[in-house]
Amino acid sequence: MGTSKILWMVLLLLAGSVSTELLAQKHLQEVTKKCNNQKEVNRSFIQRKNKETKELERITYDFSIPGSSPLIQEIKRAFEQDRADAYQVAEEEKDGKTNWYYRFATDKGSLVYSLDSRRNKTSNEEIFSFTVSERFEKED
Amino acid sequence: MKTEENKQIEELLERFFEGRTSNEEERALYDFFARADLPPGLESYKELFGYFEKGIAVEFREMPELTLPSETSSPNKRKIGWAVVLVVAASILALLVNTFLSSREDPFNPYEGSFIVHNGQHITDPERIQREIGRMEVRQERMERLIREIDRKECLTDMADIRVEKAYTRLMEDLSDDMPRGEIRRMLESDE
Repeated sequence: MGTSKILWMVLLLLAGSVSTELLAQKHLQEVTKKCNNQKEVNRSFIQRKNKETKELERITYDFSIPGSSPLIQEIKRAFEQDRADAYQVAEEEKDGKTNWYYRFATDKGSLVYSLDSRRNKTSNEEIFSFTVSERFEKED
Repeated sequence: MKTEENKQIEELLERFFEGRTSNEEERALYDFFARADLPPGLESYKELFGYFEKGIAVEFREMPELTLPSETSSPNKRKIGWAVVLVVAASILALLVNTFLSSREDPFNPYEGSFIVHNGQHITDPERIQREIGRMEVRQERMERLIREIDRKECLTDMADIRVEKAYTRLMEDLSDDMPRGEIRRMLESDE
């Protein structure tokens, strides 16, 4: 199975798991799909399972996007559009830049979108990290 | 009358029976008793020394050949040898298996299925993934801290609002006169 197929499957799972809150982070979801389709965007997919229960605890997507990419503006716009629906919003002003951390409620836990940036040490290029992280709460 | 030779033979005989004779002395005795004409007092020993001289050799020749049991030919010893080899081999094997099992890490990997796509290359190298996890966890921890800080500030603001609200209610209740109460209300409303 190709990497893109796996990524699509995980995205569908993420989308499915947040079906009831589908509209809450609509713009952020759309831009996430867009990032996933961009071949030049480096990404990592990390999933963590509980050692004892072996159940999935967290799924995290991280996209590394160059500051020059038009995707950055789209992501920032998506954050602004979905801001009102997030139940937790943290916006950090640091070194003249804004970092976003939005948390949305889902059926099984929460979904966090974040965007921050760092400078590449060799090229001095600004690289943005757009992260989508779903946390599964323990069911009692 | 005993001759000097007879005396010597008698002495030798005495020493022979005591087991103190040398090989040469014994040879002298054999030679002496091999003679046909023996002194009357010593004839009775002829047969004995004839036996020692010839009989023993005949007996040895007639005896079936005795073979010492060799280590390789003994089935019992061979079995014991194999048993020892098997026990040692089993011990070494048990030790190796135990070492292997105890040195093995927990086969459960909580990050199984994780991957990185870098410049179009699909990477599943655990070391790279571990580095990526470390990087993400630092960022997520920072985010958690920020959210906690915002929550704390919001909580403090809420508490301050509640305190102001309570103080206002108490003040209104304490004022019996309607005029100052109305004045204060107007002042607060004009502030808003």
